[in-house]
Amino acid sequence: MKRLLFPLVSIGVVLSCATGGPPTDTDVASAPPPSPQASVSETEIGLAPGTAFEQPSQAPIAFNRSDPGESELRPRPNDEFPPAIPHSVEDLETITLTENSCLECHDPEAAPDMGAPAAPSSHQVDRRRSPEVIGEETVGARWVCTSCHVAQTDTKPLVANPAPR
Amino acid sequence: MANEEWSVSGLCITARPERMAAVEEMLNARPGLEVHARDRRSGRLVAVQECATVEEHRQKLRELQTLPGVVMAELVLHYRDPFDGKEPIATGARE
Amino acid sequence: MKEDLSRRDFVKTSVAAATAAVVGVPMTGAADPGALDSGIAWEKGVCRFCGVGCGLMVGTRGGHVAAVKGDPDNPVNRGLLCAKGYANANILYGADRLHKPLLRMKDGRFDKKGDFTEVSWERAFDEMERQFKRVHSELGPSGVGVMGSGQYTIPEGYAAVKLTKAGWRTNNIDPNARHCMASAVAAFIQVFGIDEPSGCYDDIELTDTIVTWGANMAEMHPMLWARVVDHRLRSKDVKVVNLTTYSNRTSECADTELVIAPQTDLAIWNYIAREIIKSDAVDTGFVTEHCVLAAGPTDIGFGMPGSDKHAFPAELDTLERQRVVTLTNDEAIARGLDPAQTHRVEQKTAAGAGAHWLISFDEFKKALEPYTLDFVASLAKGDADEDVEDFKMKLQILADYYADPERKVVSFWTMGFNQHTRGTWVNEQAYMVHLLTGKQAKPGSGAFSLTGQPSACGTAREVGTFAHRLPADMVVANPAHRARSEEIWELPEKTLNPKVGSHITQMMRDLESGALRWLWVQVTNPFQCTANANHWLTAAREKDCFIVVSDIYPSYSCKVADLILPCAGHFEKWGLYGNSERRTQSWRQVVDPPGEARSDLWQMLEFSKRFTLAEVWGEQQVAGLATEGFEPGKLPDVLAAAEKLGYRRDQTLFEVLFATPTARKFAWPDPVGEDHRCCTVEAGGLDWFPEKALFEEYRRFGLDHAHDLAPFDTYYRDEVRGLRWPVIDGKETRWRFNGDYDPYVKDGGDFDFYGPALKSLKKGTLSGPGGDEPVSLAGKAKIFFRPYAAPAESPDGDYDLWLCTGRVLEHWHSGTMTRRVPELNAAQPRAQIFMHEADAAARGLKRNDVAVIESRRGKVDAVVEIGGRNPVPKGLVFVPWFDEGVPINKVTLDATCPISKQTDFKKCAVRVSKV
Repeated sequence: MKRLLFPLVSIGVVLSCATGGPPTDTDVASAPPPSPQASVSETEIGLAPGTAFEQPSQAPIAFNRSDPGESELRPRPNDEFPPAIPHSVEDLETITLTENSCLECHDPEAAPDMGAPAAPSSHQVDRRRSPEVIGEETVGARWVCTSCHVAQTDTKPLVANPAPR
Repeated sequence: MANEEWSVSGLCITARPERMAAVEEMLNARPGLEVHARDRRSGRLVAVQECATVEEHRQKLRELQTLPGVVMAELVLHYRDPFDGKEPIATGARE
Repeated sequence: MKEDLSRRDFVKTSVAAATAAVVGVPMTGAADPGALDSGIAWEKGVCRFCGVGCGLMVGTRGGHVAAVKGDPDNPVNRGLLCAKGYANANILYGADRLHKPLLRMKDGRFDKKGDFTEVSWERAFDEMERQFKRVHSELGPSGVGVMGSGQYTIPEGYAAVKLTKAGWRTNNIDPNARHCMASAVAAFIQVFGIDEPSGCYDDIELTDTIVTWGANMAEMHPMLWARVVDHRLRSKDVKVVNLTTYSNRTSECADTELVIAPQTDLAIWNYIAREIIKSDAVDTGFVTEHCVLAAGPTDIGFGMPGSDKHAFPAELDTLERQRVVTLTNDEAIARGLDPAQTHRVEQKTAAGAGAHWLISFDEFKKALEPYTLDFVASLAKGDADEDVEDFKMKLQILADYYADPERKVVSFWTMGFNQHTRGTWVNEQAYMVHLLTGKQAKPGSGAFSLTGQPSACGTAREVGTFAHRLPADMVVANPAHRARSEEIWELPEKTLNPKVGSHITQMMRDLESGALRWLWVQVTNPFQCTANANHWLTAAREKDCFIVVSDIYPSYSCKVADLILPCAGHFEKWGLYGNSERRTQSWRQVVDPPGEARSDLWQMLEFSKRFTLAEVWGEQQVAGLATEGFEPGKLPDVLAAAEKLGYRRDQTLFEVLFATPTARKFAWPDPVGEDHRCCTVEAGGLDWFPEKALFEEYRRFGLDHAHDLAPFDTYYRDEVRGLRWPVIDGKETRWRFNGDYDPYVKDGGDFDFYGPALKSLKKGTLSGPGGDEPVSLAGKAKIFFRPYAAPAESPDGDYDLWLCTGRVLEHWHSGTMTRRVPELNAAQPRAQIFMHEADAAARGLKRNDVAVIESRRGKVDAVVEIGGRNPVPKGLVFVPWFDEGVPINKVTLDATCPISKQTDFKKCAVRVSKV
């Protein structure tokens, strides 16, 4: 029986992504209409290979070990997406009521000296109470940076996601 | 340049959709005014106006209201900056 | 680019960007004038994920969703979104989106052992129909079922309820929201007689004290947590307390953290209530005028199967506790018994667990007496390394916050309470303390149950996609409720089945026992998210059953499906959701579904064409049906009555339930859909608008029943950002039961707990009801006494650690959508097992080693994490369930709250070792 190559075989997608460069819009738009009797086994669908009765193998996670300033920002899927954190946060991620280790470098006051990207002025706008004023400090609603900005391990996509931009 | 009085207001100008292009051209021709974004569906333009005093901002806003093709001009944000000439930094948001 | 910006340009750009954000004008590539005209069209929408219900602006370009951003006009989130929220666009574009129906076939025919083969919709429905009718003819309506969702849109959920209950006459429809909110619902009904919170999110900015109980809001409700942190940072007088079984991100911005032992929340509430009474902090006026005191049975088991028939040998000892419980020392003390003696308690009231009766204030006080500070502190302290005196001090601080008449308090909870074998009780205890102190239904004060899913409230609960429910808080067991539903649905009398159907976990057990053999899974992933999954996975593949899974991606459940149907995603269809604060919000279809993917609604409408009335409305066997007015074990033939109503026997369910003359008056095209498409209309070749017709019909259930919704079109108006029901005269209601805000409060009253359910009770004592006539409790709320009870399963010599499961910020539920977004996947690539360093070391494990986690029911491997975002105490491990590569629900226990039938995913016993 003819095997369905795309878009069902996620493993294949990962491989093509790893070897063939980033997928483009056309990958999704022009996925060839599979032939009528194309088929795929349950072991080939989903995000974990094998049947639901098998134990997928586990491997250590490739944590990001780079220090702040060492690595470039990754491209974002679109302009609204908050930039991901390009550096390790393992020893840094402290956000309490009195301390914010992210803002120690990324607060606009501190950023120039630290050579870090500054939080944009939108982060000083209290949209709930005075949306028309750019204030002096990062607003409380944006205090927990990790709600929006996520750290990145060195992990390949499980399946390609050629989100249109 | 330090300590110069300088402020910027963020404006939302609603134009008749069919006259958006003309309104934008007219706005950009005004001193200290720059159009930064537009939404053709709603006819809204986002602009910034540079002025020295608050009164000047108010006056300019009143003038905008009277321009042909403009439905409404609103002050959305006002930002006053003690200009210290410090080198700029990345905005982060637009990296 | 950045070096070229002068300070002035930088400021101007920032002001322009901020202005654009405020007024909702797209602004991309701010400093690049050429990029200013992005060509993106924006319109309002709602987030696909959690129960917070953040408002979005959805940006489309070229037929795709190009981006989303927070909606600055939406009061829920004021323009902010969490990391998941920003991925609302990307979740539609994973490369393995399902484009065509896939049926297991061999040699051109359906074969349960075959491979998934692309088929036409026609062929897919043919097989679905054939299998349905085979099972239906053998087992009757009880043999078929639907697993639904708190992520159904309102019209989808309503169509599912109508198709199953009115069409197929089965109550076997239950949502994944059973796993998420059932305990909250049961407590709302028992305490207030009506579902859903009295307060709203505005409470956050109005309160002095926020206490989170089993709710890691920082990760699970990030944008609501943003409001909490914002409020707290503005004032040192505002206090935040986090009660949790392990340290987490919510603790990081809390003033006080209490790490408690699993299940001891029950004891802590009673300690607080005892302190309130002792310190004379009871709001006597409020309690006397608006409340009564109540108690219920305690020998109620743990919602586990009564039979061992399908049990693994290792499960037998835990299952025995469903029949007999030997009280622990602590349980004996908590119940005023002698702990030196053995107390074996037969669990006799498992079937009537929800019964309750009135008690006196003296009885109530007496019941609380054992819950002293010393006793509760020694029982509840969850971190072996914490000094008990420190823990006592924190308990006192907590009790003081609740008792202080000057302090407003909001208590938030989520799954720590709801997923609990005494989930209904612990919900009720929260109301106990808030009602005793008069801190309920007031601005800034209230016990507030947060929902997990985007429309657990709006759809699952309000529409009633549960085995026992009908729309607007009605239930199938109530003859008046059935009659009202039959009237609105224009059904013959006794069409509706009075026998409560199987809840979602029971449906899995029914698959295993062979009682359920046809199952349609919609908008959920039950084979990943149901506890004790090895049983259900095996049943799905080995039993004579037919499982249909509708999804947008090949989920874990698809692996064990027989037929997979490709669905339209969030912005590829029209929909409305209802969030935790009763806010109903809407979105339009802005892009088309890919390939042959179709909306869930179209799938139901289309499949309903496969049934004539003659096939489903004749006499039906329903084993166990025993209801007054019905022959035992039977649903009557209603075809003759149907003909009197003007129906024909050969009419299809599509004509009778959906394309009714009233529904067809909602014509498509509709002005509300100008410049928009509707995939349900297009695929169905319709000239009417099913989403709107169904919503408007559904609305009729709630009007004048304290569930009033606004008309469909109102929610789509440009200036509307959702409305909190009841919506009366176009005005939303922020605080229910409060005379200053809620039009349903009787004229002149300050408070009126007007919910109608369970408002007639007998008087009794702690040990049971008396023989007197029931007393009417109109307008009153109930203050329940509920005792401490040990969990269904606790660590022992063989399985020596607690396992708690839950979510992470970056992934939504079972990860089907979010794990296909590379940024979120890279942030949380795999579910880890969070362990204490000492527990890891004792097993020869260190960070990033692979460990095996094993319970009586199954085992999985996972990578060890120590500390990180969840520093767990000794003796407890935490494993998130988003990862189908770490299917942790093979390990968890399917014990439920016997009242709500919600599974306790937070507690079972495991052992961990090195692989």
